Amino acid sequence: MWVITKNALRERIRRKEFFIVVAVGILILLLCSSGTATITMNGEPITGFDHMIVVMHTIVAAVGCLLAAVLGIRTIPNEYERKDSHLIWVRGISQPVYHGGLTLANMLSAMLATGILYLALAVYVAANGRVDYLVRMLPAFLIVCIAVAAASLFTSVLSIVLPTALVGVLGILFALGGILHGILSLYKNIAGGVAGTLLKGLLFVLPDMNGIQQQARRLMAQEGVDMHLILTGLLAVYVLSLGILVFRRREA
Amino acid sequence: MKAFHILYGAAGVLLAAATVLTGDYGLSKTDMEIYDRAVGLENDMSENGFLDFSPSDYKIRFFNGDCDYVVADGEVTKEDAAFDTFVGTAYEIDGAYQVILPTYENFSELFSMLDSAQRISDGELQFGEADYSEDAHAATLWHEAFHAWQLTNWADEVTARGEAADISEEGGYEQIVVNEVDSDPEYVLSFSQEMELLQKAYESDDAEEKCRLIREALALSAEMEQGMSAQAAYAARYFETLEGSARYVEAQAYRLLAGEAAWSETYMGEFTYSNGAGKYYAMGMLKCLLLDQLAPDWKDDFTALADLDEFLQAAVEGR
Amino acid sequence: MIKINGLTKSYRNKRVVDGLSFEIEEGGLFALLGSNGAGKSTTIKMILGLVKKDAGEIVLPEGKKIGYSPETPHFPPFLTGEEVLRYYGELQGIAKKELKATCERLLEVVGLDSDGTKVRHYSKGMLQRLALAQALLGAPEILILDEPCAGLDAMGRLEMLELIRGFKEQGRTIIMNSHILSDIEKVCDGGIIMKTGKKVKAFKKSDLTEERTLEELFVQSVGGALGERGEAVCG
Repeated sequence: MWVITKNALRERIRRKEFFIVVAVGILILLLCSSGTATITMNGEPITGFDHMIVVMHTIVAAVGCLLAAVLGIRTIPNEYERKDSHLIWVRGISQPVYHGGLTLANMLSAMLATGILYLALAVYVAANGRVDYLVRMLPAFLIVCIAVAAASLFTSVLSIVLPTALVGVLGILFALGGILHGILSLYKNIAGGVAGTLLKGLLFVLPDMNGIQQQARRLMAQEGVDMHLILTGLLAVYVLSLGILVFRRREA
Repeated sequence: MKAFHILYGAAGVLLAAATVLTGDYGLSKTDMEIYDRAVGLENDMSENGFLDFSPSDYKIRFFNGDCDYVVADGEVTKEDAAFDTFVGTAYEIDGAYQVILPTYENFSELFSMLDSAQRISDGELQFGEADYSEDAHAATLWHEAFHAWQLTNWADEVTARGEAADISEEGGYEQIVVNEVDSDPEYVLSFSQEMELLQKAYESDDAEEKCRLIREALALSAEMEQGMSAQAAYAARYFETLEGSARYVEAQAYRLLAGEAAWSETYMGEFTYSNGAGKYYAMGMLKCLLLDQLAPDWKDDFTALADLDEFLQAAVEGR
Repeated sequence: MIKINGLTKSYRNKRVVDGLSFEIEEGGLFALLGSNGAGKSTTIKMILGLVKKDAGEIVLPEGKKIGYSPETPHFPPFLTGEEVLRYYGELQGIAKKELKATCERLLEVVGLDSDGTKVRHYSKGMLQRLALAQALLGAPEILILDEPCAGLDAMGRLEMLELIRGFKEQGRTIIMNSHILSDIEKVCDGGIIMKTGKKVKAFKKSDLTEERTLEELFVQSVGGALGERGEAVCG
């Protein structure tokens, strides 16, 4: 499986979308940290580190999750369209190993892109002299990777069996839903009735990607971390990974 | 391969178990602490409090979006949600008025979101930091518990008066204010002046000056009432008395919890005109504070049918 | 021996392989012939397990490795020929210490250089050769070649056929699918002619003579005529 992953990873990081989204993300980070964006909190322009880091970390995680969803859409379908799958199947490589390797490549490339954004964040942290934050950025990044992995897994797993256009829509909705989990949860309480019930069901299956990234930021800030949220994210990743074992193609 | 499957399955089981074990079930520690802090104020609040009013006399239902955790007599029980709510309220359940509050987590998130939305509507990318504190939530508990006390004792009378004024629904009061009062520039001006006068009166250390300002404000209030319809006048009184007094109770609880500076910043800076019922909350609270200065025993005679202007009139007469 | 019995496959209610039965002896080159849409590639894919059969039986000799060269090979364009072979070799479980030598040898066998040229710069002929090379990884006893000469010029086809002949002489069983009859005639030991998913004719090399060429046999079997250049023009 690692052989497949390595090859797929080399192909992933050559793709245009990868670099475009990373460039956009870095641009946003630069804008936020340069003070040119008129972002204010409670009426005061954000210049303070403690406010900016909240905003920037949220952006990094959101871009990472969306990128993960986008990168995962076409990887497996492309293999079958180009008939690369033929030379894999004939070698007796099982579908879970094949799809698993490709999915792992998707996840790693999404984490790599998020890692690049995190590096940009680290530069901002270092420029503000916050060594206390820097020291904890690696474990925080690993926590963010849980959310990124969930978004990547979702689209990768669905792409095994569903048409690409549908996977794209569902994948992006999944990532957006995870990012906006808190707002949706709030709306669930307001909505009530059928809408509220539907939202309740949706929120049960959607991993709270925003909550997970908040725990990462809290770890950096040495605030209390909610382990339950992190474990829920890991459980979501685990459940999604079972899709690789369950979903199979009938033909190469 | 089989070994891999077994290990993978075991990992999943462990993960699921860890997730379940770390879950926060039941009423959260935060909400329980908020309840304890609120109820812990009863002795201090009762020194200058309303007769027979204690929040612990009422069941407090914390709604977490799925169900209610009901706190009463030191115990917490889980019940079906009375109804979905995103704000606090007092509601009759099984023949008794109970307080329904969203959990602190839900309410503070809503507070931030609404605050941000309002600021964004001003055209700038603005965020509202979650400055809805746990103390504020404990104070809200006092506010809603006070409503439960008002309704427990005078619900029928309040309803009857409302019907007499031809206002049948709760939402009707707000609608009357918005439709009739807020669109009248003369009313807006007069109300703002009344508020300014009363605020000056509250801040004044000169007793004579204080009374003079109050009399002037009361005269202005009477004049405004004459220019309003009976419905609007009743709606204004309704909000001032019921909500204004509840706001006063809330502010006093917050003062004890968060300190003088925080109380002043949160409550004493809101005396400006705003559309809707909110201005009457502030006006009513201000009148209650003035009554504290002039007639500390006013609460002994307070009911949900009281006219705060009459109380103030009685307080300044003969001075 | 490879046995195919009653093989059937339909796509959207259209029978593309219809009750196909034949046997392939060990060693030698067996040809699957037919016009476009006859069901040749689908038959090969069913033998390889790439496509699920609807009915029938496929019996493959136990313990024999199979190498497959697809009709339109696609390889990662950013890899060199050697890297492609290393990739597939690793997947097959070829030990790393012998992999490099194996890859260099196979490239030499098929006439490709180990000069670091990326696949994106390969010609059609080079791609076909690389496809053949990856099929030879692991020294398979059975080779399945799907249109190995497709898209090649005359010289390319001659070279490819020479390679294939060499593999046959090594004792491998080769199943080859092609619609270039003159190429097949040069190397095959027998085969079947298919039309609309059915076997219409089985033949052996000994059935073919100067007077009765494969093309004539083909045209007789599937219907049509010989074209001006003596090529089969099928109905």
